[in-house]
Amino acid sequence: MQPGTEPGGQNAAELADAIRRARVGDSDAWADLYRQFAPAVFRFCRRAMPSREDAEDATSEVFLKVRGKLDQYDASRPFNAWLYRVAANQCWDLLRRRRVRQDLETGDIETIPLEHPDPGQLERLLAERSAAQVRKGLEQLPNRTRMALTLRYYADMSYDEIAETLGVRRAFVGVLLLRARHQLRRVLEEAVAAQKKSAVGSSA
Amino acid sequence: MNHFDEMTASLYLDGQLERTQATDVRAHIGECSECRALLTALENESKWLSASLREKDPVPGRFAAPEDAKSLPWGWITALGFAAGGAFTVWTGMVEPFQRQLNQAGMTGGNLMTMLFFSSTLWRGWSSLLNFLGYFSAAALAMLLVVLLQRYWRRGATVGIVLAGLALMLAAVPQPAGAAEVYKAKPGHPNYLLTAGQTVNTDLIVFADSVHIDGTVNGDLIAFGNTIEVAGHVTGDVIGWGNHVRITGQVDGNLRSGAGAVFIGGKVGKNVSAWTGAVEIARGGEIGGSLTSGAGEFLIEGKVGRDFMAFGGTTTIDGTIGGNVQLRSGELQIDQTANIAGYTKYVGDHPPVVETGAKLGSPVEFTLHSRAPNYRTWRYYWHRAEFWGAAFVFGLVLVLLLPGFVAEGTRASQKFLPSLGIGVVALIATPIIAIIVCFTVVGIGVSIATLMIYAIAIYAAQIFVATWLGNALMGHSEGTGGALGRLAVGLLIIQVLQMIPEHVGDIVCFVVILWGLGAIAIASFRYLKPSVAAAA
Repeated sequence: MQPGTEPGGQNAAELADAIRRARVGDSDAWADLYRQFAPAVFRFCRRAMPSREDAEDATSEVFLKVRGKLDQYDASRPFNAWLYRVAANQCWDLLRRRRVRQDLETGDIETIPLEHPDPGQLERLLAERSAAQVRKGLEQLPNRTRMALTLRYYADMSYDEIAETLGVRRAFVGVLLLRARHQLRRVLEEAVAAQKKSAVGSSA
Repeated sequence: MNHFDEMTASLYLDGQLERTQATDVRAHIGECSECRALLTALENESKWLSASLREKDPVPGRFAAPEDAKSLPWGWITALGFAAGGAFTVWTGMVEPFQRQLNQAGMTGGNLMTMLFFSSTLWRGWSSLLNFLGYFSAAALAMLLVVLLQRYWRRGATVGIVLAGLALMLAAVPQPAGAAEVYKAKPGHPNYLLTAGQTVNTDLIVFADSVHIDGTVNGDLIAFGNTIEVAGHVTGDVIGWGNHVRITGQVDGNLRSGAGAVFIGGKVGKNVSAWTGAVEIARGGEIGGSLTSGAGEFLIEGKVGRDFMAFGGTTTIDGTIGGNVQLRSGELQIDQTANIAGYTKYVGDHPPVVETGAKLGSPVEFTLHSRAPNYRTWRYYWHRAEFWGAAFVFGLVLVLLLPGFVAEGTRASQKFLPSLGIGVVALIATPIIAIIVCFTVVGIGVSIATLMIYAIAIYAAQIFVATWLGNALMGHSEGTGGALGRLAVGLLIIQVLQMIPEHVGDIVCFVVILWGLGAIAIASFRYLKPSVAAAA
């Protein structure tokens, strides 16, 4: 299920009505929409951006954008999917403008990770790490990697949508996602190792 | 089929394989437990990622469903009430008298910066200085407008507007560049001498160890140096920063000075403002306008044409004052040769000593300055409440404008000792750096801006300590409303602690400033560094 599919328990007809009224400038309807979707959009930005401050800025800007673009929303498609598209473009724009690590990311990009994971080890990692730790680990990933994981696993975007958002060839999305998982595993494993080391150090 | 690789497994799970390939995979996992295990692990990983990313962790208050926003925002109403009260007090107690003083002193026009830095009767006493903090409530209201603007414009635009405003203010500072002659001391030539008979027909800006003007400057003289002496003639103003500033010749305009000691043996046509260790108007020395000053020691043997307004350590008046005397001082002595045309108002630690023979327009109005706050009056508590309100509004604006920065600062203030240490360094080093920067021509604006930020940071220090205190007492809060509540409680506690007599309150105040200042310094460092996490 997508997060926020049934925000506030409101049904599709009410939502469509709120969107229609917000389009013609009904500020109450707009406030309603904001109330319902702001948490989900913030969480999206929080996953996609490297820091909380960035996420807050991005969320505000997403809603500014959405307000201006509400006319372009095609009511036959899910509203929150559209919202995530806008948010994704906004976040990606912000990150790209910053160009931090961009150079590093472009080199050596199309190689497929060769090392094969040990299923047992992977399952152990899944059991050991909490959701909060996963999100924390996300912060340490390069921008595009983090973005890809967010688009796929938070916003549930298709490979086509991810390719379009990140401006990569569709055939490359699978590689990108797999590399991203590898990088996240490495970050989380390092955290586990560091934790164990410090536990040993303090008990000695 | 052979074992498949992770890429294939991953694409298979995402339904991205072509049909024939997918059939192959399906057939293979039926017979290969190894690949089945891999596929299961990857599938679990996908679920785990989705669950972790979609977990509904707390979001900041302004993005959370604001059910409480419909109730009356009492915090806002109270804070705005206090702010309005503060602004009113500031207006009636400071701005209006200030304007009156200004008009009496013959100082009209000028811009805000000159008023604040040179002419200001704002500095006429410590109580005024404290009231000056109330000024922040007015400033905070202005910033509130910025917040409202921000709701309609992008943050970048808002920051742009604020910066443009600051730039305009700085641009309003008299720009010494343009038609000015600039002299900077070079190694081997540390001194500047304008010999008698020489004339400079523009403004003159000098940076040198010793600045000696025996000739004529047809314009302003702006000098930075150890000793600055005007024995010749300056037709404009003299702005002098140095150890000793001596006027033995003639200055037609104003003298503005921050110096170790100011000596006036000659003539200054207009007003003198000086923030120095000592001011001496020698016999024969004359000021056409008023003397506004803060100094450790005043010796007035010469003549002041209009008012004399000052605060300082000891004051001795032997000469003539054409206007009124308003003084906040440790001691006041009026000798027999003194002649004061207007009234004399004096607030001090000791009664004034007035020798017989001194001519006074009216007897000295003396108020004993009591250092202890008057706990019995309501006014005292009202003032405290105002300080609290002003600080809260300031904090509110800070939280709304820079939520990330406040969070960072609060985090930093959790580490008490490092914050305190850095606070001590920041408190001492910043003005020194500002003064050093000041010695380059482009640096004057930067220097003034630095000092302004420094003053604001000292005031803002309590916000961070208060937020920390609130969090420590009531637990951490994610929402904006909760954060503001904690801020209010923290500020209240700090205000109450500052009311403790016998210097304990002063010590609390000082520690809060150091602590918060350190936290601000740490937070600024972290906040301004772009995205540390992204580079990890």
